[in-house]
Order: sequence, then C-alpha cells, then structure tokens
Amino acid sequence: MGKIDRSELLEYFLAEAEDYLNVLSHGIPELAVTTDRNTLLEELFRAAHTLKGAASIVRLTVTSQIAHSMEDILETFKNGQLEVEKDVVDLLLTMLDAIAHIVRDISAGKEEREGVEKQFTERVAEVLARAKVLGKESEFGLEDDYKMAEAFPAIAAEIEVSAEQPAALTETVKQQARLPEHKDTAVPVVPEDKPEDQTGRRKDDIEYFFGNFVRIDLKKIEEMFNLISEVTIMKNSMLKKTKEAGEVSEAVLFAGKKLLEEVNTFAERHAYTITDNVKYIDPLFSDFGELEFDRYDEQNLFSRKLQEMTEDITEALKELMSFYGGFQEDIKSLDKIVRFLRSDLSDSRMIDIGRLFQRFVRPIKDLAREYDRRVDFQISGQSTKIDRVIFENLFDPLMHMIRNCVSHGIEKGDERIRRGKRKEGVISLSARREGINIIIEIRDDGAGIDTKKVFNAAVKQGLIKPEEKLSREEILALIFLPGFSTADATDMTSGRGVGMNAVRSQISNINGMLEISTEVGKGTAFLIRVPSSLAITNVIVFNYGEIEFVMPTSLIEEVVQYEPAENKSRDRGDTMTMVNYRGTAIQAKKLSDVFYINGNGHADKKDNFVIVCSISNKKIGLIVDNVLIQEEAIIKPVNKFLEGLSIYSGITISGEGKVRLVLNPLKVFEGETRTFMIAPPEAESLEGRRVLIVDDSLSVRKYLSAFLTTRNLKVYSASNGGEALKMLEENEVDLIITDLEMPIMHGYELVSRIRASSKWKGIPIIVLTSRSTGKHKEKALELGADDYIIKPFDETGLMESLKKFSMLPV
Amino acid sequence: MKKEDMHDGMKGEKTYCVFGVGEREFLLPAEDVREVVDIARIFPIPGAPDYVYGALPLRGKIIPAVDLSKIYPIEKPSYASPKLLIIDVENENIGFLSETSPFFVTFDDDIVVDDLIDIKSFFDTYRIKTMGYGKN
Repeated sequence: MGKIDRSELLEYFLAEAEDYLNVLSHGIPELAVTTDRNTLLEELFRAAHTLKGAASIVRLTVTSQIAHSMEDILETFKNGQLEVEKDVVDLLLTMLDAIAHIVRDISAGKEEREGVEKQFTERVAEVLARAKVLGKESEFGLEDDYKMAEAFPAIAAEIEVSAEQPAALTETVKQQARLPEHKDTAVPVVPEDKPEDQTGRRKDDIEYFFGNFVRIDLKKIEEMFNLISEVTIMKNSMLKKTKEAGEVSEAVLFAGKKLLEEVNTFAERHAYTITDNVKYIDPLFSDFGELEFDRYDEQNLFSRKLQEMTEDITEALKELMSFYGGFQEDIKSLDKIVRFLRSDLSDSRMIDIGRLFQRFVRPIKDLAREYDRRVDFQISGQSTKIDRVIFENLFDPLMHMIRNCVSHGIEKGDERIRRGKRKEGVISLSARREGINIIIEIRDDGAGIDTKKVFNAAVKQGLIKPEEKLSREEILALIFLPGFSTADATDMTSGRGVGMNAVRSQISNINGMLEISTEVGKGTAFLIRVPSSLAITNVIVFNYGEIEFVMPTSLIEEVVQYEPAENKSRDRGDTMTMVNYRGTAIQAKKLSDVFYINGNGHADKKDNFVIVCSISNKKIGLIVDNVLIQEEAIIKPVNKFLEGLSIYSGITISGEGKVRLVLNPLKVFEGETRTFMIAPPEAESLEGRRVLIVDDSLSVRKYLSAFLTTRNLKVYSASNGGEALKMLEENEVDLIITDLEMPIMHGYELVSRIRASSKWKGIPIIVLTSRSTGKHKEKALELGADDYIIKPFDETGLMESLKKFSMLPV
Repeated sequence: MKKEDMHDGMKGEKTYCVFGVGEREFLLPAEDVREVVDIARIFPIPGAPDYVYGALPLRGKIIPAVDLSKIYPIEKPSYASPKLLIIDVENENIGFLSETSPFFVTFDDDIVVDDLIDIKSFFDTYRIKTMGYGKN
C-alpha cells in the first residue's frame, strides 16, 4: 500500500484532541472568575493553537478553522483588547462544543460536516471588531495551516482522503459509533445542585471523554503481568501437585481393589464354614448339616467384618476418585482461564507491525532520491501482531538494513536495465507468524553480496588474514563483525563502520535471530526471527549441575545428542570443540567454559546434549549436561543491579520457585566470533548523535522524531521546558530543537536556562516555532538560540540547519 | 529531610536498621529497608562477581543477594540462618545478607552514624556494568 494510514494518524489526533478540549472546557468558564487570568489565557491560547495545528495535519479543516477563530478571540483577551464578557465566553463554549461534536463524529468513523464553521463567522467577526482590531490579520493567517499541512508531507500529502477512510478506522473506534448521541441539541438546564456553574453546562459536557482510549500507565500493565506470572507459577505448581495426587490415589485405588479381592476370596472360604476342629465344641450343631444352619465362629465374624469394611473403603475411594476427577477438571479450566487472561493481557501490549512498516515509506523515498535509485517498496503482513517492546526495538535495525538495501542493494536504473531487470528496484518488507515466532523478511532484487568483495574488504580492514580459508557462510558472517564495512568512507548514509554488528546486537536484545541469504545479481534477503511476545516465551530448560538455565526456542535451531567430531583439524584448541551435527562438524562450547567454572566432574558424557544455534548463518553449539523440558516461561528483565551481565537476557522463575537464567547465545559466543579480529578499525561516525525535541504537540514530536531517526540520529523528546531540563540531566544531548510556546516552561525560559548552565551552554539550540515575527526571532537569538526555523518548516531547511551543527554529514 | 521542615526547637530523629555480617555491624536508613525475609534457598548466578551471593525469587521479582563480607574486610561469615534485608533503591530491589536478625534504632539526627551504607552510591558503585568474566 505504501501510503500513510490516515486512520492511524487520526488515532493520535483523537488522543491528543481529548486533552486540549478538556483544557479549554475547564478553562474557558474559569476566565470570568480567575485571579490569574494571564496564565490561564496563556494555557487556553496554547491549547487552541495546538489543536488547530494538529487538526490541520490530519486535514480536519473545519475543526482547524474553528480552533483558529477561538485562538483569535483568545488572543484579543490576551492582548487586553477585549474584556472577558459573558457573551464572548458563551461563544467560545459553543465553538468548543462544535469541535467536540466533530471529534465525536470522527471517533465514530464519520467525517467532518462541511460548513459547520460558517455559523460562527459572523459572531467571531463581530467580536473581533469590538476588539478594535478588525481588518488586522493576526500573525498566523489561515493560509499557514495549509502550508503546515504541506510541510508535513510524510503525513498530510500521502493521506488518501477517500470515502473508505472512515471505515478503515479500527474496530474499537467503530464500536464507538454506538455511543449515545452528543447532547448538544438538548436545552441547557442549570442543575439544581450546581448553581455556581454560570454557563449552565452539565458535567458531561465539561469533561470530554470519547471512550476510544483509556490511557494506562505501562507500569500498570507490567504490574498486572507480574501478578499473572505469580498466578501462573502457582497454577503450574498446583498442576504438578494434582498430577502427583492423581498418581497416589490411583495407587491407593489399585491397592484397595487388590485388598478387596483378597478379602473376598478369604471371606468366600471362611465366612460360612466351620473348621473341623470346632465342630465338636457345640454339640447342638451336630444335628444340622453345614447348609442347614448358619454358624458363626470368630473367624466367620472377622472375615465378614473385613469384607464389609473393605467395601466401605472401596466405596470411599471411588468417591474420592470422582472428587479428584472433578478437582482435576477445575484445575484444568483454571489453567485455561489463566492462559486466556495471560494472552489477553499480552495482547494489550501487541501492536500491528504494519504501523512499524509504514514508518519506512517516507525514508525510502528520501533515500531513493538521495541515491538516485528507483524503488518500489512493497509491504505485506501488516496485521501481524507484535509485542510493543519488540516493535520499539525493531525500528533502528530495520532502518539500517533498508538503508543498506537502497544504497548497496538496488542498482541504478540504467545498470538494472543492462542486467535485464525492471528499472524499478523492489524492496519488500514482510511479516508472518510462524508458530510462536514472527518472521520479518527484508528482500531486495538488487546486486546481491559478492563474497569475494566481502573477503577482500575484511582482509583490508584487518579482520581476517588473507591466507584464511573460509566457507561461503563464514564469509557472509564476516559482515556482522564489529567495524566491518564494504562501503567507501565518503558514503552518505551507510558504511560508517557501525553496520550490521550493531543490527545483530539490537536484534539479539529482543531474543531475535538474523540470517542473510544472497545471490550475486539476484538480490539479498535478511530474515529476522523474533518471538511474538517477549513476556511469555517458549523456552528450553537445561542445567549445569544445580544451576538451571533457559534459552528461548526461537533462538534454537535444534537440540541433539552430544557426539564429538572425528575430525578435529579445525579444533581451535581453546574453549571450542568440534561436535557432529547432522553429519558435519560444527564448533561448540561447553557451558562450563562459558563461565570459566571448573568443569571437573562434568566430563564429556555420552548423555550430554548440544543446543545448536544459528548465529548469522553460522551453526554453533552449546554443550550442556542435560536438557530438562520445554515449556512456556515468563521472562523478566534482569535486575538493574545485574544488568551488566549481558550474557543473560532475562530471568524466569520455575513452577517450583527456582530461579532460571535466560542465556543469550549471541553473547555466549561473542568472544568466539571476535577471535577473528586483529585490530579494531577506527571509524569516525556521526551516527548516534543525539537530538532533544521539545514541543507540546504530540503530532509534531512524532513527525520530527520520525524525520530525525531515519537520518540516524538518536531522538529524545520532551513536551515542555521543564521536562526538557530533566531529560538533559539524565541524557547527553548534542542538539536541542525547541518550540517557543509550551506549558509549564516555555521555550524562551528553556533557552536562557540552558545558556545560563555551565554544563549545557555549549549545546546548539534550534528554535522551531509558528511565530514568524522578527520580535520573536530577535528575542530567541538574543537569549542564545543558534537558529530560528518557522513552522510550517520544509525538510530541506531543517536538514541544512542540522548539517550546520554537524548533526548530518555535509 | 530539609531543615525548614522541622519544628522549631524540636530535634529531628532518624531511625536506622542494624544488621550484622561477621564481626561487623552495618546501618541502613530504616526507610530504605522494605522488609526482612528468611532465606530458604539462594540460586547462584554464574558470571557475577563474588559479592553477588546469588538471587532469590520474592513475589515474582528476583532479588540479588549481596554478601558484604566480599566487599569489606570481614572474616568469612557462617551465614548459618541468614536473613535478607530487601532494599528499595533506584526503583529496584536488592538484598543484603545478614547473619543476625536486624533491629531498628533511633538517634537524634545530628549524631553522625558510623558504618552507614549510602545505598544509592553503593548501588552505583557495585552495580554490574560489564561482564566480569572474559579472557582479558
């Protein structure tokens, strides 16, 4: 599809609009009574201003125009040109209601009703005339809004405004269509119990809540997750115990049956018979035969009693068994419910991967232009759900690989034609679920990777010796070495020596694996395998003596019986040994050697296992004592105190409450792949330079952040000056881009505070604002801003400015 | 606590938690101690420095247990029936092993307390930053 999904942007807008509407709704009636009118006006003005901007980005022109008029009126208040009078306040509230109505419509999947704004034109003009400023256009004319939309081409220009759009809104939003109608047509009634509300508005008109979003602190979800893991551990332990109880009761039942049989046989023989030696004791019996009179001696009585008791016991055992059966059923349904609950909760952290894919549409266009390539970008499998944490961690590595596809993969147009290919190169990004894993594939139909070139480049960079003999797989694995690059140093966006090593590392942090396949002249494909959820992961449990470890199955190729390889010629002699895997010898490492623990008493045994992983196309094994079980586990992040132990990607707790460490195979074998290294090449890099964005509009922050990250910059963002200072305390930053009008602390104050601080005074500051007057600019520069860009801004202007401060290569 | 927060003429007091390792006693501000637990079983963490005695699960969290005898010059403690003080620090929890049952004492806050552990700087100093093992 390749277009930015408007419904997604609308979701952001709706979430944002709710906040601004509430600010206005609470604030406007306060105007008449407040003691600190200036602060309140400032706040209201900003809310209207931001709402206007946000609406124009998603092409809600009616909303934008009404908000603009509100802004104008508020500005006359602010400048003291107009007294706050009741009729004006009422007008503002009516306008606000109109916007709220539109927003409600939008969230119900409808479009704006045209011309709503016209009902206000006259009254707004009248109010502004009263303010004696009629005819004087305020500094941001309406045209600006449209310019603003143009300046956000990634968002606005690609929005397909079509009839299907509203239908494309998410299910949740659609459900909102059933919400009760807005009551704006109702006659305003002053409620008896709220006489102080002079505006006559009801409570539900003051508080805007569209019901589409409930904001939940992620911490809350994490907490729930922790509780669910507790319940799961408890449940697992119960499952285990019921199983044990089941075995015991079966044994008892079996013993009981046997007892009954024995007793019955005994009773048959003795219950009604009289032994010969007692016959004479009672002479009365002698008159009757055995069948003519029931006789009872002690033995008879005992055996009958025994029989009765055994029957009672068997009966009780049967009851117990049927109770146990029911209990087991209950535990089983509990198990099921906990699973559902867990997966629902885990779904709440799941996001469509399509939202991630769409972020690449724009950068690919830019890159294609930059490199003079023609690229057809194809996306598939957008609805594949992926864990939020994985989602966030995939952007950087994917961006890097996509950049490689454009700059190294796809050939220039005429060269493609010479090779008999379509002029347009195809880059496809796809996702699919495979069992518990998500497979993401980036494929291009470009030049492919020439292993000879890779080998030579590696020799040149001192990564390998020229005489080394490497297999094709091993040569491809070289591109994942730290510092490896095939590109010329002057390359604009790729080949800065950070490369695929960082990519692989980023992917391994989310328990993912990266593989590459390529054919010269045909193209290259990167395959990323990540677990669909980081929280609940299928793992293999293995041990080293008493210590238990797990490894996510997504990272494991296969588990095989340990079998030392005959041919030890390639044995490195250090910690690696060669083992047989499917007929070939692969390198393997003993778990004990991973930690340099004394391996005595853990000598190679026939019953050891090898866990085979594939690390960037190379099969490598981990020799462990024993593989215990495969199960689902809830992986928790490593305690911050232990975070530096990068060999562990997490910790889990077993059903019995044992601590199990999650091994990260990439880190386990990292030392080994590094043995290739002779000298680390030095590469100056601009990558990873850090920019702090300060703006109160979520949409602007989103847009800027996407713009900058695609240019390889690390982005921090803050919604006001105060937050920005906090971010600066915690993070090193190389450049600051700030808005001027923001709540809590505005841009001027932020700039002067930064310039006054000894720590940050050297950081360049770019002011990005919709204030276009010289007065504003002068003040900003005077306070110490280094550059002043006016919103709506164009990308080249910003790029130029970024280059000026060495944030981008010139 | 800031000076201004105190009432005039009233001396502030501060409560500490006292625990013992070998022959030494250590103090922690009472508000940093979340709870004290008996240790049933501690799980070793291969690769961690020796002062990390192990880790134990506590209500779904995994708490590293720190053995102060590996940090301070203390004769090897027996840890016969050890307790673990669970500490709140940096939105995280760590534990200190104690040989004795910890108790609380209160001093006037102008008294300078010896053997007081500054938990934040302890955390920053001894937090594992990179893997402690390797060929170099």
